[in-house]
Amino acid sequence: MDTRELPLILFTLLTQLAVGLAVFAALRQWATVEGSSVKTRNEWIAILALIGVGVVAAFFHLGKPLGAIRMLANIGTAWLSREILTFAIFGLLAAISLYMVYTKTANGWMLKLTALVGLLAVFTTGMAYAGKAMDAINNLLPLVFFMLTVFTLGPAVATYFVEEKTHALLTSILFPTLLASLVVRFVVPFIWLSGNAVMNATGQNFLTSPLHWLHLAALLAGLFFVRNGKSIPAWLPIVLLIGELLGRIAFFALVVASGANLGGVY
Amino acid sequence: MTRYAFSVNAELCIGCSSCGMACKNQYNLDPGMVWRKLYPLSEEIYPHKDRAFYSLACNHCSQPACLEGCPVGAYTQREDGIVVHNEDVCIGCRNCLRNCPFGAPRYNEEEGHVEKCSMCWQRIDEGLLPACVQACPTNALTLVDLDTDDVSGTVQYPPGFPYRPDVEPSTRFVLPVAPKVVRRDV
Amino acid sequence: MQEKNSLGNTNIQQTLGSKVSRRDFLKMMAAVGAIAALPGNGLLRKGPGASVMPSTGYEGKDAYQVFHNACPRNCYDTCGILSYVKDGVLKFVEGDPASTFTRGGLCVKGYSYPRSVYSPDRIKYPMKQEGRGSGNWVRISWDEALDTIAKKILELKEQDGSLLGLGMTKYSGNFGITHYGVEGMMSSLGYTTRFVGTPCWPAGIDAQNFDMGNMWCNDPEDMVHSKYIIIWGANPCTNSIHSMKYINEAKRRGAKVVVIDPIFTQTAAKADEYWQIKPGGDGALALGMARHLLDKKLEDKAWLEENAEGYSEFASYLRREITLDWAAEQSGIPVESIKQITEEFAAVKPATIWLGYGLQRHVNGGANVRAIDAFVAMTGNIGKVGGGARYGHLFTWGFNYNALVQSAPEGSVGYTGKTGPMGEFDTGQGGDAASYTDRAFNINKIAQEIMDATEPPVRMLWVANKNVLSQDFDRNKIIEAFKKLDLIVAVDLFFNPTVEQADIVLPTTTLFEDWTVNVSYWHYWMSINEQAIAPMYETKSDIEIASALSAKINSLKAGSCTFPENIDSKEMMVKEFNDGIYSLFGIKSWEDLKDGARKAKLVSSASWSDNKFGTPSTKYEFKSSIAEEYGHTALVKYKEPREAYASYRLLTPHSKYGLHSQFQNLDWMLDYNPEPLAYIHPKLAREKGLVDGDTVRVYNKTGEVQLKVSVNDIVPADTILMYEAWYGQNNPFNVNILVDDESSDMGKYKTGAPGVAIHDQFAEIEKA
Repeated sequence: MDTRELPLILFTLLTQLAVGLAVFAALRQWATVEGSSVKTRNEWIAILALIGVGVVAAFFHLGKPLGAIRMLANIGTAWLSREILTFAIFGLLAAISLYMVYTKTANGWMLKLTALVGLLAVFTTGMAYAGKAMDAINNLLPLVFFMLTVFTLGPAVATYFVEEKTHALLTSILFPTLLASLVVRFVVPFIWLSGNAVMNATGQNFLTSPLHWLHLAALLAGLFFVRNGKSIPAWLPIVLLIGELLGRIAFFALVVASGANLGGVY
Repeated sequence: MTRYAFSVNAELCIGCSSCGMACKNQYNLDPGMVWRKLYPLSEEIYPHKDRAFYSLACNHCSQPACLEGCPVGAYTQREDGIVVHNEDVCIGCRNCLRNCPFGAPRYNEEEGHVEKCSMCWQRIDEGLLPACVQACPTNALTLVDLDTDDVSGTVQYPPGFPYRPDVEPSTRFVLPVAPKVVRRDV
Repeated sequence: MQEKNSLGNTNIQQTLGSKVSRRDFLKMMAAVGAIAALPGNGLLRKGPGASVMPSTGYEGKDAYQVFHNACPRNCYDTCGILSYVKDGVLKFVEGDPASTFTRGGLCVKGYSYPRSVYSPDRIKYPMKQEGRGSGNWVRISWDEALDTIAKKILELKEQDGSLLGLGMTKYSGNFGITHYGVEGMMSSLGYTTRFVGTPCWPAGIDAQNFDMGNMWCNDPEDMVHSKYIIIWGANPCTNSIHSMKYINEAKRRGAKVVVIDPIFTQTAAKADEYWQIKPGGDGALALGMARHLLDKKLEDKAWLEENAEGYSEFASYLRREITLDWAAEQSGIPVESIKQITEEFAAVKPATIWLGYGLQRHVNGGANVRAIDAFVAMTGNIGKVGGGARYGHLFTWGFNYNALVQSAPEGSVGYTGKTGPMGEFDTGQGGDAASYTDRAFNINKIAQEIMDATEPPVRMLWVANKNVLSQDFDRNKIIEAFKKLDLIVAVDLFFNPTVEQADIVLPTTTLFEDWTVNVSYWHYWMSINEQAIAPMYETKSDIEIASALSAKINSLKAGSCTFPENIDSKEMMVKEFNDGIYSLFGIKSWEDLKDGARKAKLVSSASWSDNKFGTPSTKYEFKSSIAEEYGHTALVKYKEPREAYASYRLLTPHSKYGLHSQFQNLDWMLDYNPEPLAYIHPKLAREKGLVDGDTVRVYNKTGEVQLKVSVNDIVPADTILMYEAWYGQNNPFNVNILVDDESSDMGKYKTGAPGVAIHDQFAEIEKA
């Protein structure tokens, strides 16, 4: 695997986890009995920390990190610029959310807005990674994969911030997400096999990679252990995190670029 | 109007790699950095291995994916179609590597920026040919103006080249021909 | 000397008077808006925030001083070069547009020149190796180096009473005319041992001399007029890329191009028809074709009546001893094809055959060339524009050889055998009626000669313009033979395998740091080679070394050396010119060459257009008395090929990425050709259980190499193909570990020694 991609693997994973936590912080306030008095301060601290670490990691991806501020220059056509902008706004809103929660002046709209912007940010990430050179994912698949990650890691890690009684709420999202994720991630590489030579090569890479199968195994384990719909074991989020990490490494390492096949039959 | 493009005649091409090295020589490229090289056609396309090639660098697309996806605006498309990359503006995020279907941009690890063929625009502006075109001993690699030259004998998407009308590469191709072969029994 | 980082970029201290890097300078320019004034800026369209100045590349014609250089490598194309220099640094090179042959472009090797000039691996100062082959190199001064060398020379003189113990081997590392100063240096010291001959093309040279009285080909630019071109054992797509445009033009005008070669080369892929001949079967094929001409009465009777000697005897020989079935069996080409090509060739005029050098690197190479020449002569294509049996020429090499011709110091004692040695470029200035001469050994058998030499033995060896340990044959034997030498001095650019075995290495200049003049043995252009940049580090050219050595040895013992002690390289170059060259090229002075390469003014593009051959009979000789003198059949006849001594034929032709042991070691070249490969046919691969990328051992009685295999049908199933090259210090790959020093049949007449049967080698192959 090209270790140069590690920063982006971390960035995407951590920010998607952060957005997931934000969604569930907002959801809890909206959907639970506690309503506006629900305690989400720790989540927001975690969210900001995750964003911070993710952004720092992303810096290391750049050949010239000091030029990073200029990445907002091409919002007109570049999804990457839009991603930077949206995450900046998300970060700002998360900070405001934390402040409001901390000073107990939080109103539901701020948290919901933050969560929405977070999802928007993941949307831009999904579009930014649909690179035109990567035939297998030059489509909505990155967006789909990333959203599945948000709704897998969000509820899973949120369990560390909530009481046992809230597990049911989390499981009600986690279980269908795990099911969808398993199905999608299992089927897609097979579909790639019937694509062009570049997609086929990508499909073969995935189907022969332990990274891919371990990811699916983690999802399967998750499905099995939350099937009762009531509680999430404390070790499960770790397994899911590891699974998602392996899957993300596969995403960055195993997708074949069309330029690698020049001179060959497409 | 002018719309510059490379014309790659794989029938005239003798696989000498003068074009590639002329580019390295013009820009004093770092070892490991190759902007133009020969891509041998696989046996499914030409019946003998390592005997027919496309010389490719950047295809100076009409709708360049590199330019669209660059967050810092390091790419510029000139009126005459040349897509120029500015190494000083580039921050090395490598998004263009994910976007170019032809793998034209290359990352220079030591310098922390991306590099690619910019069609020797400095030479073109002085009425000279790009270094690679001047180097070609058989006129296999030539510079054409898609707006005024007759490129009717060429194709835009030959076998061995990705079919990407979404980016619309400007390069034009002529396909190679295999000779009659008289082999010994061995 | 300006500072350079490892990329050869320079600080432009001198221009700005401060330590500002090129990048900073450009940024400054951008900041003050100077960039906006440059052309092209008005053509911006899209892209926010981008100015168009990348930090490298062409900086406009006024930014450079342009010099004329010439590629001095052993290559048909001998390109004119334009060198673009800025602030004393070579920035980039181009081909000289003044030469229609070079036409503004070089090749993959020529374009890598800036990288070799500024390579961090270049030898910078004299060094001595403490323990030959140990790698313990110690820097020494020129004074110490020359002192050691001079003292050894004087010691030899003392010991042996002559300098025959001093040997010199040199070949084609640099064909700039002033580089014959190396031979001159030896002559100016006394009578020495010379390794003479050439590994390259001697068999064919002798053959063409027997047939026509000289090796003299048409102007290659007249191939556009050919209606039929057979490229026989030559591979211009790899080794003479500038010739291809003439062949392509001929094709465009309707000519048929046929390639005859054991390998499906790149040139074969560009032909109309490719014939995969059995190596060494060329003579049989040509004789078969000649026989068919007779059978079909297609020979040019009129021309043969007027211009041939011994033809009727040859025709009788053909009728008596040559059949098409036999020719098909010997060559591997079907009878129908032989008939077809003969009839096609004879049906059009002019028709031509390009005989390559690989063709004659066989034990029967010279005889095979004679047979092919004979076929061309029979069809009446000798002396015709667009025709001819093309091999090479030395027509434009008539310089003074001022650097070469030096007299021995008074009282020198030498060899008292037959006439003195010569190389193929000898124009007759060498041996005269003196009673002493140099001792001549066969350059192709250096190991054996050193091992056998007595009275006196060879004790010291000077190596220049040659990489013995990479290019000479039976490498292991050479290492053994070198043990007899007390002192080995190598003059070179890189720490190649020869330098690794040397005791002293002297750093030398590249073509950009030297004044000389160059011509080609194929085209008819001449190029000046100006000194574009100052010699790097402490390097000296061959003649600068000669004069320095002269000064040193004379200071130790007066009268030891006649080579001028103070030379001006430019003056030495000027002294090479004479009226013959001026009138041939239609120039008034060498300075006319500063405007660009010039072409010889030829009476006709066709050699032998007046049919006055250089043979004793002044006719084209199918029967040559001189051939007989040299131990061959007088008549053009079939000669047996070499018997195989192992299971598979081993062919080691030339790579496009290197010229012998030059260029391939550069990192830029490794980007295009990273590693050596052994090419084998899928059938052979199946037999040996091999797939693409496997590591194999290729071995025979002479040695063994290990490398990766490439499975490819460009080779016949009974052949292993490896391209000769030196990949740099850490790669021990060398095809000559497997090549023995078996001689080819001809070469002694015109070059002093027979050639080498480089392609008559055989080997085994196994998975490693």
